[in-house]
Amino acid sequence: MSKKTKAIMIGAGLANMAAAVYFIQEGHWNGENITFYSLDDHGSNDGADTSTLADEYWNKNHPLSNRKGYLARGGRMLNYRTYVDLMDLLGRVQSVTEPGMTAAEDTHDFDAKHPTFDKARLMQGARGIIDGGKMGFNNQDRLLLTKLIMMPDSEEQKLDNVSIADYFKDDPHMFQTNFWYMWETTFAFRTKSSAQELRRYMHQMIYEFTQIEHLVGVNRTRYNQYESIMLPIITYLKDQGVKIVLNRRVTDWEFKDSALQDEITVTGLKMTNVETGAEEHVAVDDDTAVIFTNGSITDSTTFGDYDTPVVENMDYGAASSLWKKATEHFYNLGNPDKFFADRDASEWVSFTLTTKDHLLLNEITRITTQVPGNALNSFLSTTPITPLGQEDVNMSIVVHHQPHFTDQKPNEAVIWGYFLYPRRRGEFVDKPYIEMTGKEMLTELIGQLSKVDPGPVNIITKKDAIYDSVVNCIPVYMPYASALFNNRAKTDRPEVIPDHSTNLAFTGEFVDQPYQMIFTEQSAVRSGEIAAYHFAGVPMSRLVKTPRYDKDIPTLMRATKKMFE
Amino acid sequence: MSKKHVFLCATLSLALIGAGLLAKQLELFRDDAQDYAKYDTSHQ
Repeated sequence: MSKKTKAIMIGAGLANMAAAVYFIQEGHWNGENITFYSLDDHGSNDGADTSTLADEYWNKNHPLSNRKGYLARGGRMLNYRTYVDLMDLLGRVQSVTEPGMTAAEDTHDFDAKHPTFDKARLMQGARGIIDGGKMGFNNQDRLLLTKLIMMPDSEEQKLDNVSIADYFKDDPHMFQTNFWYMWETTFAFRTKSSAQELRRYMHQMIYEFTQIEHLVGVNRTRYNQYESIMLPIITYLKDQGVKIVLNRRVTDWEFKDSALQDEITVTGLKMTNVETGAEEHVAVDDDTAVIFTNGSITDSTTFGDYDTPVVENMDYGAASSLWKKATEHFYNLGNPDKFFADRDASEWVSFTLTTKDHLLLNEITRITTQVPGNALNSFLSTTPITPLGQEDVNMSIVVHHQPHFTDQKPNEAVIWGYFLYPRRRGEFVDKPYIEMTGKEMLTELIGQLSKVDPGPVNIITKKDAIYDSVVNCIPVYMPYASALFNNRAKTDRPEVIPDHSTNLAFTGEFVDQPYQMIFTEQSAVRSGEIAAYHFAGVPMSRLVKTPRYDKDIPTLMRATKKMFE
Repeated sequence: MSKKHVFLCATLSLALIGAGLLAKQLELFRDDAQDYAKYDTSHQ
């Protein structure tokens, strides 16, 4: 009997938070019957002052000397058109910053007042702002992309273990198109990433493909992801009596023995209290579901500061280690090594820069010609930097609408940036990005801006003043930042409810579910929704309906037209 | 039938066949709900 009345959540990221909300609101469960065990209460949707995050689990062995300023390891761009499950979830909880609004109304209200229109999506020295509307395709590029778009869901297994580099191996021109520069940096795809996932993106984001250069389909939250998305959900769940037990690393499973070892029934969990070191055990009875987020792109993250580079953490990852333990018992739970044993395929570094005034922000506004909050800007190299001897993006930045944190002072500014290939060497600091301090990453940014500065007074003349304005710049190394895109076969990820499972569900960005692309919060929420409906006996017909723009003829015709621009 | 009518009929037929093949390739009329039926426990 699959229906339950209680749940243990392993992981307190968005997927399991969503499951808890749906258990309560659609399954009519008592919130007190839901317990989370997790290292933290934000997963990848973090955002706080540096000192708060610096004390968390992954950075405990690498204390920072400068704990000032703010930190968000990543930023999320939403898309109301396709993120329908996420918006459904946010419509069910109250904003914690805007009284009288749901979290969905909050983001709609903010986004309507600050719509995205990127005017400087791509920039390059000697050219300045590039017209990203010119995709740059040749006929072979168009043919290969069209094949992806025309491949229906039922045939996606044809792309098992095919990387993007494999798929375009006879068409290296693709990697020199404006389309690719924008695509790789908007979504953090790498050439070793999965072509199967690229196909899913081409299908689910086909509408946004038609307007990719201005990112007009991008919608944003008012503040960082923690305050605008996680905190409203956490507040709601705690009000409902849900227990969130932090500083717990679940380390092993107890499964029921069955004759052919093909019944998946969790009977207990072993975990470590990472604050005290105590080993704990939680029994799982017949009326309890176990909802497990089996991977996190921010596991094993480490931070540096303005004067300190990151130190790499070689931990396989908390969630993924537990996932691996589960696969040692059953054949149908996927292959975590495909995602967590090849850092070269998934790593990147980001930085969060806090300044005490708006000098740098104003310079970026002048150079890019757009106000903060509108954009993602990527800086193309002027020399070949890839193994194929091609130009590529050096770095990208997101200039948030200010303030990005509710307790940010009015004069402060917070900017986020990232280097998709952290082992490449800097152009202005001669070392790999991963070895740079926060100051050195800022030096790279000032250098890239100086190359595209239209003048008359180049930003480089203000370099010292900019350095003086810095509160902190936190480099962040994430070995698994793009792990969810790693090359895969369809069976490398478990289904949300694996065959033969009586009480275990998998949620988050490392599960296989129909149609959904990953790294969007949308798929995380939907996986939690499916898990909740399954164990609560809610009909699957009540799942939020997924729009299929890949089957909308006018959209397909616009996409075809875009390919020729 | 005039040549013009034959041409029009042939063109229309080809267009319909093409549309049908496209619809089939794109699985335009597939009901996605069937993907979730196996997870449904509401009947238990």
